[in-house]
Amino acid sequence: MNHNSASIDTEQNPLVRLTHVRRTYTAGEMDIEVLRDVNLTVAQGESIAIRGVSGSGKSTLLNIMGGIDCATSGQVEVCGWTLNGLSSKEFTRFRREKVGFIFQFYNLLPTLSALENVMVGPESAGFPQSKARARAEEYLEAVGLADKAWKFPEQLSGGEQQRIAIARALAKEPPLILADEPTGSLDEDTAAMVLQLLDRLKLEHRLTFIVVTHNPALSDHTDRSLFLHNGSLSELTPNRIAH
Amino acid sequence: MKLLVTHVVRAGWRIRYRLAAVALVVAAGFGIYAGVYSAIDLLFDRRNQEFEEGHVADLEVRFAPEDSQRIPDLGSLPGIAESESRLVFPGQMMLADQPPLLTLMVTIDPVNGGHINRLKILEGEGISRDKPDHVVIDRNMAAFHHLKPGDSIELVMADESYHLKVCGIGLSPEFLLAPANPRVFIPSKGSLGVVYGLPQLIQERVGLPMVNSLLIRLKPGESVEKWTDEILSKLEGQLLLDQVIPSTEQFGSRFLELSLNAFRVCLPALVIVFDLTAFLVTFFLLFQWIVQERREIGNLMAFGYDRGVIGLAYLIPVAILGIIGSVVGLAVALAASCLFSTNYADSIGFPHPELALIPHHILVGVGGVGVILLAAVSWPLIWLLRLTPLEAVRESMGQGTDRLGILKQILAWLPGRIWLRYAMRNLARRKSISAMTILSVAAGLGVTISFFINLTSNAGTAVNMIRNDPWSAILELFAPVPIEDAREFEAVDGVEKAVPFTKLSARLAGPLSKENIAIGGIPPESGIRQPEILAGRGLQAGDQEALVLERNLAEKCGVQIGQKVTIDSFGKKKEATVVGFLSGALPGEAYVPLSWAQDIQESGDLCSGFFLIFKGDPEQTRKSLFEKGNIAQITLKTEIVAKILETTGEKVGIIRLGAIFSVVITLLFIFCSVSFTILQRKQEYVMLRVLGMSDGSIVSTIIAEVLFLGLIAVLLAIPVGYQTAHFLNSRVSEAWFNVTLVAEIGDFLKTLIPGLLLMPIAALGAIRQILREPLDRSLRERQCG
Ligand SMILES: Nc1ncnc2c1ncn2[C@@H]1O[C@H](COP(=O)(O)OP(=O)(O)O)[C@@H](O)[C@H]1O
Ligand SMILES: [Mg+2]
Repeated sequence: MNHNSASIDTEQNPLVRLTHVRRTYTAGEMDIEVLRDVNLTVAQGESIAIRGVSGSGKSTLLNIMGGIDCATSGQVEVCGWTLNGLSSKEFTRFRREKVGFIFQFYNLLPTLSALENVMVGPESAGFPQSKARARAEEYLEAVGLADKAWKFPEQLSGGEQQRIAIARALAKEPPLILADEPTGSLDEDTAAMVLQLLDRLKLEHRLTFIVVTHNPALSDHTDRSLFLHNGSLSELTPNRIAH
Repeated sequence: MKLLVTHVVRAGWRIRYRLAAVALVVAAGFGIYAGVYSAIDLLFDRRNQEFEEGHVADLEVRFAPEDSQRIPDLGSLPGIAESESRLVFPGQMMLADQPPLLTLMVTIDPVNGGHINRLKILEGEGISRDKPDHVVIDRNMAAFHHLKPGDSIELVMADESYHLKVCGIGLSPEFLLAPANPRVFIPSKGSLGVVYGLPQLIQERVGLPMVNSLLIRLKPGESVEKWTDEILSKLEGQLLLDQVIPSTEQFGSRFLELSLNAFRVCLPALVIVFDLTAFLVTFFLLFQWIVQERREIGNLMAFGYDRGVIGLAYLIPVAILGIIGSVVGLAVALAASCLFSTNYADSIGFPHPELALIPHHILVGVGGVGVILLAAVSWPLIWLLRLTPLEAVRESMGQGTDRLGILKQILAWLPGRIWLRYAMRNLARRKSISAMTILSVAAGLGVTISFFINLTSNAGTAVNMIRNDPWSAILELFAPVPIEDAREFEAVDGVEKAVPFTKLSARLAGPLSKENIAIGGIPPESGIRQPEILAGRGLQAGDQEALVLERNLAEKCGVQIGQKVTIDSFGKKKEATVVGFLSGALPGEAYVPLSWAQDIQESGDLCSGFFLIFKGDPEQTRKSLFEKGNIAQITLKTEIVAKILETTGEKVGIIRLGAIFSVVITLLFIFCSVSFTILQRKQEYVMLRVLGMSDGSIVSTIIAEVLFLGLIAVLLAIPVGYQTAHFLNSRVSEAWFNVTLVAEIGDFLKTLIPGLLLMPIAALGAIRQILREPLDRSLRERQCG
């Protein structure tokens, strides 16, 4: 296992490399093969959309890359970590240091204020409290919600909650951002706004960004689009050329 | 319908451990109620049965020994069913390594007498005319002094030594509880021996068939009050009367009555407090369950199931719960009844009642279980079923977080790491649930505390009754001596001072009633007795005719402080002024100046005993004192204190039982409630784990929350326990002596520390479940919603 983060700085070393990843679930007597043979390389600073119909295994794939789920077989290398066969403690460290998550349902903690929700990211990454707070304020500003810092999730709209969740994922400045249907629960206008925000942040912070969606519109905002079908990925024509 | 029932039963099965906990709580509540009430009834039944079978005397008249031939015949009085005379003679039983035991010899004529206060032979055989040196001894005397049929004992009466053989062990309704020396302030079992023998035994040495006690049984329905006066007027002038004791005031039965009443008054208080906790817990847990089923019920309604049918379906698991609870409860009841009654009986030397349950209490208990379960489940059900299916299903994650208002704003500004803030705020989140949890835990712990405080208070108060007294021992004489004899006792090695006292029984006529009192005459300036004065004052130097009276009796008679009352000691009357009320272990305790007591007794300067102040080793001094004659008994203060504590120690069993029951309930409750609240937030904990929070931090968050909850409950338990103890003490005070609240830190710590330590353990199950939860599955569940 190579935990040395220095080795990933070279351009040739991709941030994510999946080789022959397979994921099966056992349901009773039957084995369901959700991911059959997934191969994927993502370079640093690249943004990728993974599309597919509902139930095609997009979330499963994303969870495997994020250290939430384990591949049944195949090689999973993310940010210099080989994720096969890690202990739960190591998985936790990996998630803490390397990945920022954005979910469809925001998953904010209802008893924490907006600022505190953002602080969860840097604080669990081990930042001292004052620094965690400074970071949180900075990213709250970046998503345009500095004035709502002391509001609680229930006092915010869906779009605002998702922006808080984005700030939470970014605040610890992880090398990789994973988003699972980030606009899935938002209306069209709000979704567009959130996408614009993501575009901007991607540029400003040179994020490596993998988004999973069944919404074709989202792929307009990424460098590359992939299609998950029958348990493997196929390349779609690039929508936009990287800058 | 069948599908519906299947669903509901499965839903119940999913939380079977929690429901099992509810069943246990229900069983404990029901069992304690039915068991304790049965125990109380059984004890009283046992007493009544013994009184009836033993033909207990309604009245006993004591007088100076007289030839049995010269006792006036009471047969001419129409209210009297039968009467019987006997000799009750004090003596001493010689013991190997201990001071002699004050022992009463009671004569029974096995042929013509023994009908009243009939002696039941439990072991060996009764006395018979042809074996004059055979005696039957009291059951408790046999137990405390390890005597059995066939043993030999030596009894000294009026300076004569009798070598006797124990032929049997008996139980008399007169001494249902361990005979105790009534002259000791807190009578303790084993402090008095009772021996039953033939009249010839003493007659042989004295020459005449002497008697000094007349037992009288009235015809059914006749009033003791009325006939007492008739009997006295018939006997006065013929006999030198000493004491009239209606059976209700006979020392043994009075003590039994008091003690049983204290039991009867205290235990229901314990049951009320305990069952209230059980009720809260049951109600809360079932309520939680139904609320948790909210979405499922909403779905069922959406599928078109009839609301009534859904409601009925949910009653099925609850009915099963009730049945299990009642069946287990019966076993608990039987155990509780047995434990409480035998524990109590042992503590006062009372015969064990039979092992049984009173059907009436079982029925009330089962009814109570039904009502509580029904109420607990129908309240939330009715509320839920009134919602539209959509309202029921739409239960947002933030539900219950609204209206936190100011509290949340304050909490928002509190500093601290995020995980700690999260833990604290979760408490404020479902305020009503947190409050209920805190209250229930505080109640459970508080009740336990109050039991221990009550115990400490009882012992503390009893010890305080004599602790302020300067004397080291009480010396009682067989025959009165002049008070100048104090010099003689003071001359004994180890004695510093001897203060004379005299005892007499008399009747006090108050505006409300006429009561028997036990008067102690003491030199008012000596300060040798310092009872706790509840109102007015104690005796002071210069007092001539002051009377300090036990409060309960004063209230019964209706006398006030400052009032002049007439005391009647068998025809000799004298006035006294009530100057104060005292708190005594027995009603009727009273003190007057020594000279006043001597006046009414017309006994010149005689006294019946001395309070002694020692300067040397008490045991050694007692030994030297016993070398003098005429000494009935010398009781050391340290012995009395030890006895009080020992008696309390025996009651500890009962208290401990109560404590264990309430601690178990509290823990079951914490277990259920904590698992419920924590598992309800499973998604959030999973989210924290996904975001990279370490397992240690997750555990800290949960433990912090539980401990904080526990800490508030513990703080609250202190006043709750204190107040409950007040309540328990006041119940005891009503029935017995005035119990003042004495609490030791230990009474609190004994409950609170284990309680606080066990609380996080109650959360371990939930913690384990959260840490083992696969992250992806949880996220997926969330997304399904
Ligand atoms: N823990 C699991 N056990 C069994 N089957 C699962 C489990 N997790 C996911 N699946 C199945 O895997 C398939 C892919 O799920 P998912 O990755 O959520 O798809 P998507 O995100 O593309 O909609 C689904 O058919 C789902 O039923
Ligand atoms: Mg998905």
